[in-house]
Amino acid sequence: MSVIRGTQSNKKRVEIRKKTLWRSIWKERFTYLIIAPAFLSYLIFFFYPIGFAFVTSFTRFDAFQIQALPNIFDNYHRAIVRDPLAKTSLLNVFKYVVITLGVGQSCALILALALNSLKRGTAFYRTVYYFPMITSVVTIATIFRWLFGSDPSAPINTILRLLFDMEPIRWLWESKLVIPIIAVIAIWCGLGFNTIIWMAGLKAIPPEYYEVARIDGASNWRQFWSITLPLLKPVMLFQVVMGFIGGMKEFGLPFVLTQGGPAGASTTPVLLVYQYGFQNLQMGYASALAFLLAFLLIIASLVQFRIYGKSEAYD
Amino acid sequence: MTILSQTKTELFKSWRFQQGFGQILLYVILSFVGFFILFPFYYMVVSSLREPFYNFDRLTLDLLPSAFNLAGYIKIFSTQVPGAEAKSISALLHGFVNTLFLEATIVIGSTFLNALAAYAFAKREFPGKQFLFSVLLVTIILPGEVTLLPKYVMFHKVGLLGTFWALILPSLTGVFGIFLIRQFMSTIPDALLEAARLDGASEFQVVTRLVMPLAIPAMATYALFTFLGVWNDLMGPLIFVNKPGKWTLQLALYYFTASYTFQYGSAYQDSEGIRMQTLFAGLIISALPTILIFVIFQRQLVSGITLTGLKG
Amino acid sequence: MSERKLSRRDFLRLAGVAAGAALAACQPQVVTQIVKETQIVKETEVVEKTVKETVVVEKEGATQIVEVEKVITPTPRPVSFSMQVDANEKVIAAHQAAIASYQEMNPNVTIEVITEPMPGMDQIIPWLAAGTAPDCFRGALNQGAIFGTKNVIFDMADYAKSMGVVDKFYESVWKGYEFKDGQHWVLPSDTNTFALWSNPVMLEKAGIAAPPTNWTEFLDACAKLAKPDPDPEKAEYAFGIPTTIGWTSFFMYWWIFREGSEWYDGKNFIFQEALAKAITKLRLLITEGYLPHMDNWQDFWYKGRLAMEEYGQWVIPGDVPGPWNDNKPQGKWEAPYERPYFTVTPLFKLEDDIPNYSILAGFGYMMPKSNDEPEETFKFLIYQITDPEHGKMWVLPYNQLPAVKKEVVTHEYLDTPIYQAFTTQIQTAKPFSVYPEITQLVDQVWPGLILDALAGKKTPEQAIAEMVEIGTPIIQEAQSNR
Repeated sequence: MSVIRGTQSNKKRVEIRKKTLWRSIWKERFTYLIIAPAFLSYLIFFFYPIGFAFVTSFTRFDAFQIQALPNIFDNYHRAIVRDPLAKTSLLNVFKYVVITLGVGQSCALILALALNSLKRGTAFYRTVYYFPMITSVVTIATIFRWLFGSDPSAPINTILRLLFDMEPIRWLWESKLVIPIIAVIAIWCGLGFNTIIWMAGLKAIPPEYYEVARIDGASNWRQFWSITLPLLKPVMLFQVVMGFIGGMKEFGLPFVLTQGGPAGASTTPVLLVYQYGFQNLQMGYASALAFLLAFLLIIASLVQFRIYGKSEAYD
Repeated sequence: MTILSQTKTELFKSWRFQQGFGQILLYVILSFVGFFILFPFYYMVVSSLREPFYNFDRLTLDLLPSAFNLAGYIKIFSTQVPGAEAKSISALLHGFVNTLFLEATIVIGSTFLNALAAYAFAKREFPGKQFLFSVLLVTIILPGEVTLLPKYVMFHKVGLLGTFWALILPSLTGVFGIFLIRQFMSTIPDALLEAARLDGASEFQVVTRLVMPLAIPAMATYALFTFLGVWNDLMGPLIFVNKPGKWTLQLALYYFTASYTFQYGSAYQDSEGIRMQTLFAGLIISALPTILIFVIFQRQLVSGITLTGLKG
Repeated sequence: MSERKLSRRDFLRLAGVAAGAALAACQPQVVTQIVKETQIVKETEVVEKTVKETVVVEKEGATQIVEVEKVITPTPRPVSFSMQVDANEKVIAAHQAAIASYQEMNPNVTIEVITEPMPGMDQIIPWLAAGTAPDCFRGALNQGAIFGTKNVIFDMADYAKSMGVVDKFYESVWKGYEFKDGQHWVLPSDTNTFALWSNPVMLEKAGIAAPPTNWTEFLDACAKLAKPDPDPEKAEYAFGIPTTIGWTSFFMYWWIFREGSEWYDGKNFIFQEALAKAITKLRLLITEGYLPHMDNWQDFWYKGRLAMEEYGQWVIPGDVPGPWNDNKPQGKWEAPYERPYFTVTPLFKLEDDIPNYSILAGFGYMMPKSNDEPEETFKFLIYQITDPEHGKMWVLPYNQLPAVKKEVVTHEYLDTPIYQAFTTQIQTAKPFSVYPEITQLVDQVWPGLILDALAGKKTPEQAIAEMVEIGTPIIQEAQSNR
């Protein structure tokens, strides 16, 4: 008896839930209206092209016609196993990210510490450091291509010669140097932005902690390790994740500066995607590369979040 | 860079220096860094003002300006769009006007639409909110470069290719905007909204009359970032709106400077000796407005970045 | 009286004749006039024909019936197509002049000019994918290779043959633009090549009579010449070999091989020992100190002393006497040293068994399949390229060598010693065929390896082995993609 009654009340519960669902949708119709433009725009200008790219990543698409592949996973297989350029590009960008995160963020943090300790003039320095962020990639690439020229009369070579009597270095022509140089330029660019973020994080630490620590006799160094760093964790997570994702997707700087460097030494995965797509007309394969990269990024982000013991930080 | 880090490590150890000497040391180091940041710009300005036939290949580094020659700037301002009638405004000014038009539509349109959407995610509960929010997140991860060709073909089919709509429509919304403004809006107390509703305001009025004015700091920040983004965008106009009459500023400069570096079959000949000067003048001109805007609005920008970073 | 009385028949006969004569006298005169009239006819009627018609006309007060012969000459139907032209004032002007005179001769043709800077791949591809490309555009040979194999541009070989224009081009150039099965996807318009620039003052000082014409002479000359001063501002170099701009090229690279040349047959690498020998020779130049440091190719600056010419700029304004500077040198930039007048001679080969792969660049016109008037467009392009007046545009303002022979298009510059060196070089160049995958190898894979070999970090054999190893999967993919 109770079973029958149970089923009946289950059914009713489901019906009631459905009704409340519809009701709440109707209640919030205005909300749906106002988010409609955003999602519509995404649907049309983002998801449709991405979907198209995803589908063609399983085909042979050369921008003009779609042909079937003998094995639909062939593009992915090629990217992972057969293509030497894919591997090198991944290594390149990884080197790049390590330098920009390691050196770049550390410098930004140090600068933030310094700026924080300043009594006056913070705003001035902040403004100055932010300059590179507001100029375009083309401008920056042009300047640095000239600064890092390979002949002895290039500015940086000249400085090195006058200061240290060094031979001219073929900066952007040495396969081992290109990536570090591009990373340095990226660090130069992002210094302002990153410093500001670190400063915000520092400001959020209540000064009472330091008072207490100082009273307790802790040295500055100890204060830094035990108070500052742990409390900067959320900011650090943000910087590392965003820096990692952004860095792995780097395209503009190597594209304008070196077009992939001396023989692929500064080719990043996204640049490779572009080259395969727009120079070799192998768009299906290019899409496969792009999605593989996205997959890697998703996994990497999840891992990073796990390490920091937090879930998605946007709530 | 190594010398710099060493000095910084030492600074580290005494990072809470409040005394005079510490302050001076800080100023010195920060100025040093500032010098590095600004040096390329400085040298660019100096180079753009060099006298004609200046030998950029010399082995000494002339850090000081040697002349104040504006020929490069004049050339940039006077070159016309190829194929245009005589006496029409220069390509640069034309590009400037086009860019301003784009800026106006995109900045205003997208700020408004993003604020609306941000309000929904900040203050309203609705079925599917979680899901839709994660959809937004996905757009950060996926690479946008693969969308270039499908978008092009799509615009062509709809007949929007070569019009500014091809640039405006996709820009009207952005994840960044929604996130940023949402962050800020979530700090607005619900009580205020309730009060307004009790007073008989419709939802729309609540959003536009109450919430948006309160969210102006975040909206302004977003508007600024969008302005910068549109200003510096080269790839978009290059692919989608590439007609001489519709060139944006960056595109006009790109074509102008591209003829100064190697271009197949280009007939550039520099008989006036101002090749590099013109190139640099072009770059500076394209950067100046953004720099000015930044200097004026820098407080907004900084607080905006702070908003993004804090919650992260 | 044998008087015959008129029989009735006779009378009738007479009457008839009389009546006829009387009638004839009254009728208007039949005049045959030939009147040429042109009529716009339908497309199907393309042959000139004559038709007879009778019309009634008033003439001298009398009505006459006139037989008229009409010759109907078909007027060509209207044709229109569009053309991409580089966004450069002088170039646009030159093209508009050509278009104007062609349209005068062919009033039925309308040509629309689309001003765009020379399109790169990321512009052409969307054009072709969406069908929005202009009906013809100027591009490079390797682009033709890529698009031709995808079947989106027209093959112009048949048009050229039927119009009989093939022998207007340099044979090496025409064959050089030919693809695997005789297709010509790119119509040659202009090209460029190498030459050897020599400093005659220095040569004379060292007792060298004439610029070297082969490798042995070159080495001898290098040995005799003094080693250049390490200070670049003081150093003087006796020889210069053109370079190209770009990350992936440096002058020696082109000396060794060029896109699609005979080290790849479309299926396999067929490197010959010649390649290793060539690398070894060039390495020798570096170890012996005959070569200066490698420059930053992409920001090319004319060095003055080092006669390395920027690709595409044949003439060093001011440094070589010629009609472009009234045979007087003028300094482009102020320099603290005396500028030499260079002599220009054809560049010798590195190895006897490496052909002269010296067509440095091939440019020409491509026609997308969205063009409905390929034959008419072709006619105009041929006109533009081979017309004695308009074909000059490739010399100025394009600063290139025309792809057509000197006899077809003459220009005063072409008679100068400098241009003669280039034209000689072009004519002895060996044609090659271009495969799409070559671009990737040449741009992205091999320069680093060759540079390493030249710097002594690898032996040439090691470098070549690595080139084959890395290149093989790439060509296999490309072949399976065909």
